[in-house]
Amino acid sequence: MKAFEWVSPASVEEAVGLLKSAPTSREMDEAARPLAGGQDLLTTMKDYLTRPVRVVNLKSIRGLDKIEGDGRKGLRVGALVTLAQVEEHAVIRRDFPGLAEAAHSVATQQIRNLGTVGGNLCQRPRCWYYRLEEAVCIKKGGSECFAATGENKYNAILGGGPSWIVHPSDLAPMLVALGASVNVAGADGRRTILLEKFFTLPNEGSVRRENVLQNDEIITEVSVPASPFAARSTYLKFKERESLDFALSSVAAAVELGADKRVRQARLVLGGVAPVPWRVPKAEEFLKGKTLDAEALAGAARLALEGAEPLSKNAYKVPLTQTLVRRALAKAGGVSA
Amino acid sequence: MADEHDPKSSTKRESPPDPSRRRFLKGVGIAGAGAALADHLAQTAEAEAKAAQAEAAKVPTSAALNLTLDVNGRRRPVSVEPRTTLLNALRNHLEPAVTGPKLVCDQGTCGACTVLLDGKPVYSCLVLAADAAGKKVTTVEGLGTPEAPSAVQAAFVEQDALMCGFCTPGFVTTVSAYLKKNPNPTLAEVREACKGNFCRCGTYPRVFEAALAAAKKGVMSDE
Amino acid sequence: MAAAFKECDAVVEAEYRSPILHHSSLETHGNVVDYRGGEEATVYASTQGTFTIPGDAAHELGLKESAVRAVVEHMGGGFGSKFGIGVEGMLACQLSKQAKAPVHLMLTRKDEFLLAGNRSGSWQKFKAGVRRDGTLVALHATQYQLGGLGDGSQAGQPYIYAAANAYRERISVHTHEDASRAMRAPGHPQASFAIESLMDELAYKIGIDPVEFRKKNLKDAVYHRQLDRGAREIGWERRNKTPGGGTGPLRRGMGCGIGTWGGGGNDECKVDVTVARDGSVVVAVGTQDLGTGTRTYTRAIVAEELGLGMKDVAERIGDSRLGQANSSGGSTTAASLAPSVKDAAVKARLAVAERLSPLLGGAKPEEITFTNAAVSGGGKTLSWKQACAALPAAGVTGHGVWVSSLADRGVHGVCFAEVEVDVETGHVKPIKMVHVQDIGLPLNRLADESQMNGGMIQSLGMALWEGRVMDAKLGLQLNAGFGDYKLPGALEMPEFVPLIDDEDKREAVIGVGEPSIIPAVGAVVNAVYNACGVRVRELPITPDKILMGLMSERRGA
Repeated sequence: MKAFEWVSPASVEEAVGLLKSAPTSREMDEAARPLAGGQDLLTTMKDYLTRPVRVVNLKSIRGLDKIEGDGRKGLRVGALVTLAQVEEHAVIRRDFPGLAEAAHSVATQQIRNLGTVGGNLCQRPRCWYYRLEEAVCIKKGGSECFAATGENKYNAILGGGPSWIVHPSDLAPMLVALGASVNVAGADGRRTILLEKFFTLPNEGSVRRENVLQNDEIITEVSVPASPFAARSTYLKFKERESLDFALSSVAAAVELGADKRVRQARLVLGGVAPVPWRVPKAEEFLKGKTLDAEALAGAARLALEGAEPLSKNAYKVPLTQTLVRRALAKAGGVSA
Repeated sequence: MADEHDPKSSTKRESPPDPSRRRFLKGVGIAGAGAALADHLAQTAEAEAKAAQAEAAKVPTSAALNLTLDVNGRRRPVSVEPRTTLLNALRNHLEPAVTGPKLVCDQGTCGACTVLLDGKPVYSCLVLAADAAGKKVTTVEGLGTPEAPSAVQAAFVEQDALMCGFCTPGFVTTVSAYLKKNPNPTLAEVREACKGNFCRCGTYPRVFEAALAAAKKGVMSDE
Repeated sequence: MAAAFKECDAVVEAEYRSPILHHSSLETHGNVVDYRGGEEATVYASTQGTFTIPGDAAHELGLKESAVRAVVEHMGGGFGSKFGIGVEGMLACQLSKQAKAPVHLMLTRKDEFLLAGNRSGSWQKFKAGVRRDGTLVALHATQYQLGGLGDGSQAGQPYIYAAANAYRERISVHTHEDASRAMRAPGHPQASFAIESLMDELAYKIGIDPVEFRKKNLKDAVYHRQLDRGAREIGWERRNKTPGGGTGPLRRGMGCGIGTWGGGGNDECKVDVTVARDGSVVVAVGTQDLGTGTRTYTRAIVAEELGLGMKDVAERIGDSRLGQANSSGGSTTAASLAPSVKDAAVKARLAVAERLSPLLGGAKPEEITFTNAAVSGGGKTLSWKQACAALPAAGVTGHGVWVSSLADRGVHGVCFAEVEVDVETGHVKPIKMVHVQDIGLPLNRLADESQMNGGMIQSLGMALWEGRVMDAKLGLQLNAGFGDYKLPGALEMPEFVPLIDDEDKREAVIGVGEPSIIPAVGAVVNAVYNACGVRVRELPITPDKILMGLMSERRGA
């Protein structure tokens, strides 16, 4: 890890000011970084992927670690709330079960005891090439995505190019499915961004970033609106190694069922298969008015993976994700897959 | 919230702390002084360090941070760079060192460095020492001693739950914290609790047995 | 060969591949070298060979070998990768010499993946033919060993089996990857995985029970007995009668595999057992404990011989100033050390008895008994304390050397595995593993079983998750860390049944560390086939391979 300046501000304003005022560098991976749980940032620093000149400790700011609201009023989760808090929160488990499941699915209790909601959304990709210091890929200022023609079994099958990373967050697909927004504070003021618009594909914005945050901006809060489908939400994550792994593929699903057991509306977001949480509106639309029988599940699964363009070693993600779509929808709808 | 970051807990100071004075105090040590004087000096130094930390935290600094870590119930002053991890501080910057937590993967992927931070298991390789100041750090050394092992430590020995022993401090720490949370777990629950700790020799089945045996003993001795 | 293949009723041609694997000892390689100038130096080493250190260090420091002391009180795993001081140790020596200060230099985890040794990869091509009755008639094997700069290792095919007509060639293929080193049973898991896969394919092709097929081609009765016991323990009759048969997404299956190992002891260990006048007992030898129970059995042998409890004996090991000992490789430690410890303990007992004879009515030393912390003879009994008070001021010491009749070599070993495959995701869940192992005289059943568990678990890693991934264009390893090189963890563990084969009546010590890692790989691979009908011939069997296998089967059908 490179040496850095350390500072613990007392307020959000101070924090973003300190991010803004940090010594500038031409190299974006040297920009000042905010530190929350540190469960991803410190790993990138140890591998010299990021070499921030200044680390701004957000945990000295009071009030960012609260969970408020419920299924009727909507939920507000401070950026410093830990994943462990989310998975153990009784109201979240009752009113937003998919969110509790997504938090629980992250890594291990050691990580979840420190890892935060804000940090989970802002974590960097797990692509082998990105994580390897010696491989100067397009995400690190190089010109090539080595995964495109290299070892790409974990890479994107949807939305790829010119980088084929997948977004590693487990919370993100679920929160996108639940229609969440993030409150962002920056040196130039605050803004609220729909989470679906927060993440950026490699061919929109900078290929070196995964979201719209500027260097001087931090997430302060995630808000999840009340919705008729939040209570029937679920998150399914498939790992190669159950004990500790990122998703090979994951599915966040939420459905609203009518009294006739037909789907009134559905939300379906894929994780681990695209550079952003991959919402599939076509499949959501298809499900409207249908009972969740085998045929509907299979139809949704087919549509969810429409347009998938596997690389040389990740075609398996198509059938795998289709299975997860069927199982997630069935679980959310309370039927058997 | 770390004490040294809490403005309310700090003493207002007119002038910046005098590093030469602190060095002097440290250099003299407490060996030759009477107990009362020693305590007084230690407390003064600690209060000064705390105040200095709170002040220093507000402006960016790359200088060494003078922290006080609460390790196994003892206050341990330490001076480290901002980039020093808690694991590194424990193993290499304290005298005597606390070497129970092991450096194995350095990426939060193996569990050998597991310590309890305010009672909760965390990977000490993924915590900055500066972030641990003001929190209670418990390592395997704080759970029991060779002469008076805790129920979990004793169970690990009895069940042969260790081979080379390098993962063992992490497992013992994780299991100890878990049994506090859930004193009567099932095998499946023990496995889930242990999934953040990895072993290469292959002690898992006996780690599970040790955890269950310790739980059983704990329940029985409570009755 | 061509003529032999013409006699066959069924022929299988197949290629099997296993990737380079990493020892992944939790403690990385490294040392503390303490040389502050002058005539002597001390090296604190993480090593499998205490006595491999002084010579290496002396060479770097420009000292005499006898002037360098190596200390290995504890070490965090080796698995074959930690002999000698290594480049990291050479560097530490140079630095300490220049700085005149102790230098602590441990490899990082990434270094460990890139330059601290590995198990060589394998690529094995077979053509094998059988008669309808299951007799293996002809086998042609081309074995490539992928050891990077090194030669790699691979047991010769057809391994434990006999074929009337057999031909094999073994070829080392060199790359610019770091050299492989010994890793727990070097060359055997690779060979066993391939031949056990092949045997399975042949058995299924001619429609014979895979266990019966193996027995048909194995003459050694020990294999037969171990196969029968393992089959009984796992419930072999419950296996999937049709590979991949069943309904629903979760399919269970079973498989088996077999291995063999040499082991044996040598006369390198010199052990001292000293009984002091205050009654304390110390057994001292320079050997190292890799986590295999060396400390425990060393102490236990002495305690038993002197009729004392474990707490009454202290062992001192891991120090080159103590008696010479062999390095821990090839499962030779217990078979070399235990007989020497026994010899030292017997000699110490007799030395004590000789001194006590006058106090015990002139009883012959060899007739004086040592039990329950008491010494008896000539109708009298002394407590241990009383007895030792009669010893000279310096106490007495027994100098032990190896007793060849107390050690043996040559073991078998059979593993059965049951797995559950989710045919819609490719996920493999290990359910149960049974390992039957002959080990001569078990020194400590708990520790022996732990070694067997460890062998099964490392095999499981090789079968399902582990493998170096290189980028061919960049020449870089992509998974040089514990996040991406996936060791099995708590949730991957099946139920383990380690069984010591007590039908082995040899009253001699044989090491158990290595044999237990060999047969399980084949057992797991074959269980996956039995469960889902997909024969994966390239390790590790990750979900992508199963899903793609199922898809191509469907396309073929």
